[in-house]
Amino acid sequence: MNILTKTFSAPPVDVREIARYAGCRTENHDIEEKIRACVTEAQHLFKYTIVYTECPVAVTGTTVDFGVFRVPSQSLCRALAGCCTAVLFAATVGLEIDRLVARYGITEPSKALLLQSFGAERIEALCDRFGEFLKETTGKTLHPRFSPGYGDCPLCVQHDLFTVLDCSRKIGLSLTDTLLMSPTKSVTAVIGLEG
Amino acid sequence: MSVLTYLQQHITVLDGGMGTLLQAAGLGAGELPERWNLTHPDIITDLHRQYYDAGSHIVSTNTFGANLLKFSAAELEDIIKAAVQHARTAASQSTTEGEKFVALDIGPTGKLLKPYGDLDFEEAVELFAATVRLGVQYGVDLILIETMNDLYETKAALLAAKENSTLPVFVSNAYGADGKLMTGANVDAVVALLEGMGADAIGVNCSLGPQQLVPIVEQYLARSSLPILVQPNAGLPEVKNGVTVFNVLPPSFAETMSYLVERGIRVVGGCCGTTPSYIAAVCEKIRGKAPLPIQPKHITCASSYTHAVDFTDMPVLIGERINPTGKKRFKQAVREHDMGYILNEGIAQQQKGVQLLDVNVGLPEIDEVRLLTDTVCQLQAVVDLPLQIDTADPVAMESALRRYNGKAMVNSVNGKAESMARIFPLVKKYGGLVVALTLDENGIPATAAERVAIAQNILGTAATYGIAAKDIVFDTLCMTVSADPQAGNVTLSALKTIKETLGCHTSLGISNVSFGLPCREAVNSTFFAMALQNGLSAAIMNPYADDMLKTYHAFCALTGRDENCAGYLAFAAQQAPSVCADTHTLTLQEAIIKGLGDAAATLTAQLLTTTDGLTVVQNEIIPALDRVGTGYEQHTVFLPQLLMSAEAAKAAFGVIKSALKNETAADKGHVIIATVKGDIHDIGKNIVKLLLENYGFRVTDLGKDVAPRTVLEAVQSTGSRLVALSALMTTTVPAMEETVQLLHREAPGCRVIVGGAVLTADYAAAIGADYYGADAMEAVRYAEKIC
Repeated sequence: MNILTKTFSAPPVDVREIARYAGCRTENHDIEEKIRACVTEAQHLFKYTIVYTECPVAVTGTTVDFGVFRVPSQSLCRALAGCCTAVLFAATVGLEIDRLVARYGITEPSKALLLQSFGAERIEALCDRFGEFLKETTGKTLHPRFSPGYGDCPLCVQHDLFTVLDCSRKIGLSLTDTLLMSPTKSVTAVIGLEG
Repeated sequence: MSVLTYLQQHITVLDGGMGTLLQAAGLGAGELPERWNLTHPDIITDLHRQYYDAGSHIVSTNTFGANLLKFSAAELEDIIKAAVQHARTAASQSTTEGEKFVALDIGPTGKLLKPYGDLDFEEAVELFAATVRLGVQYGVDLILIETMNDLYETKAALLAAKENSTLPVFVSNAYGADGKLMTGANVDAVVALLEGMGADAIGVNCSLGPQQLVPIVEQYLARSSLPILVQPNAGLPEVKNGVTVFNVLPPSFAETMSYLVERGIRVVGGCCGTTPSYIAAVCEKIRGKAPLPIQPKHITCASSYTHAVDFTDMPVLIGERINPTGKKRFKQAVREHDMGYILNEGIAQQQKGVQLLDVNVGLPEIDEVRLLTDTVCQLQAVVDLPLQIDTADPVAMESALRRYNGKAMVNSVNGKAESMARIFPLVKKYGGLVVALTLDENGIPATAAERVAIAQNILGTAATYGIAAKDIVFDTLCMTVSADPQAGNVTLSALKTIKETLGCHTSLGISNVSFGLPCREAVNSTFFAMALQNGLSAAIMNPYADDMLKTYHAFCALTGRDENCAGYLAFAAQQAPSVCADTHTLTLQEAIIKGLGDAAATLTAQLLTTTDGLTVVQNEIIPALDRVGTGYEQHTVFLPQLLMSAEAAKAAFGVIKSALKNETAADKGHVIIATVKGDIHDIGKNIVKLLLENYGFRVTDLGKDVAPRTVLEAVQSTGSRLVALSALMTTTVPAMEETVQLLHREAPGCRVIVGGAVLTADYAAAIGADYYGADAMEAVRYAEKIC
């Protein structure tokens, strides 16, 4: 089994998306100005790292067998319908944004909120960028990514993903006993590959 | 021969990768390699033998992940016993000549330590300790702590090794391409901590190939006075024809390692992707090369979890404001365990440009051991400056030093035999840059010569503990000049002599000099300039005192310490008064609604010249807050705006509170707030806290990851009638339920409101909460009803 890590360059920043994560339902010039200041302050803090592996997919009844572990989940079966292989991955933008959010949580909670939203936008952008990368390198059709906890998929699948991908050593991502990820701006998921 | 004796004279060769070879031998993905010590003894023994045959002097046991998180105590013992045995058998089977040592291999736990993970520091120490004790029991020659990508966990492992063995300890960290550990430490910070705690050899492994590691290794060679070890990967992994291969082959691997030996590294080996053939190639290439002598570096520094601050020709500023002495508000914060206030003091001082923070929370009536340790840990979650731990209680000092992530400054030791006997062992064990006061059993000498004599005595005693002069900073004690006209001269004379003749760095608490005098700023800043001119290395000072900063920047510019006056110019640019143009056209209400904190503060101060504080609150602040709050509830104002307004209102309240010192501000009641056990998210909690404070509630914030019993204790000690709990994930809701149940059972008069991403009104009712707050405004409305 080949476990690979990859570091991406920074994807373009979407200020409107950050505003949306912060709870702005309509366009708001003042808030977007403030977000731009946050972007300037924090954009150099992010790392864009992913650890991933491609593995076979075998569906039996309502269980998916990745060869390395099995997941009992109808939702996941549906998400991987028609796929012979899937990519398991863990992505993180690093711990520094968590530190900055904690710091502003004490001095300026509004800024903590915006930075938190910036982090959310960054990790999503990283996952999207990774999807494009997979599309280019595999030439296959990608199914939408599916994370532990979606639908009926148990959250404890995190344990299996973390063991197989060796997340802590490879990208500095760890799991708490309560299955929270640290750094918090991180994603683990499965992407089905078809064709 | 011991490995350290051997190392003094020879380049010492470690082994190469294990994981890659085990996978080739059939180890499955997700299978624990350590178990192969029991199930595949012949394969493990043979791999070790191949490394000895290739020329390794040290083989590390197959115990990278052997700890109590992954194995039961019984299995752990079987694994380590077998692992050591396999290495010993391999050594006896190998036909090559040369020394053969066995290292107990210790890798990271895979868990992240608090505050950003959930593994407690002491739990981590205990996990490593169990492994170390077994390694010692089964007879390893040394301990190799490796692939550590977090500095705090590295400290835990090294501490465990030191506390449970007398064996040599080698420590190796894994760096990213940015030259830092995953959790942010640079080489200077790593070296400072590991040297301070007495590692025997330090260095780098994993993550990168040999060429990419060269710049990081160069930094080690420049900073460290220890033997340096290097175990690179065989380059970067690539997948070719469905198989992982590494892109650096033995000849070029050996080439770079040979270069690094010529640069001065002492211990060589390999990590992921390297095999016995890599080690053989390295041995061949370095054969006959004599090791370069290791030069002591004499660097005086303190460090944090990210970087080190060096004491050089540039004076260092140490912020003094985290200290209750003479500060009523700070005393209140210490008594009430108001961590938010204390942390704010730390962040604000950093923004003023200090390079270190003094931390003193000593008050007679508090549990200083607990509070000092808590303060240090919590500061290290949000401030990356090195800390100077300031306490007269040696137990509190040890507790804080133990938990400190880095090499702290220790404030202080003095020339009394008792003081040195208590403090020096702590400095030796945990590392530290210790401030030594030139006083002894006879008090503070009146003459400079006597103070220098005490300094010499302190240096001599420190040396007997193995503490070098570079790790001592002398404070020649700044006395009050109003009581003794010669006080300033004596202090400065002693300072100059110590700097020039003993070659040691110096530090002074500047503000003492002006006690009892009016217009203290003038005395302080002038004395500061004189001290700098006499060779002062560091000042413990008030960074809010503009005169002190002016003196500092002017001194640096005037003495060739500030190229092109760049530092001075940047400082001067910040001195221009900030223009609050809006205050001419805005009302206070408008400033709050628009979320303009500075304008709100200025306008409040203006209003207070003609109106009393309570009227400003009633007529301006409350109506503005209500408008924003209503707008939020009606979805015309969004969360960031609500918070900005709340912050502006807080700024206005701050001005009013300091103006009416003797009047009691509005107090609607006391609320305890916390994120529940197991949950490390606190942004939602912080938002609710801010709004509650705005609306006149006193809020005790217990932080995140708070045990049910801690919440109950807070309710019982404060008599609060409302607790607000936050949880983000379904996995932490059980802890919330437990807290709710405990409160209802033991504190029946207290109501509990809950909130957080996964909760709903039904879910909240199911776990027994009294109310579900969908957002921060609902929490405020409920609190207004209850309290």
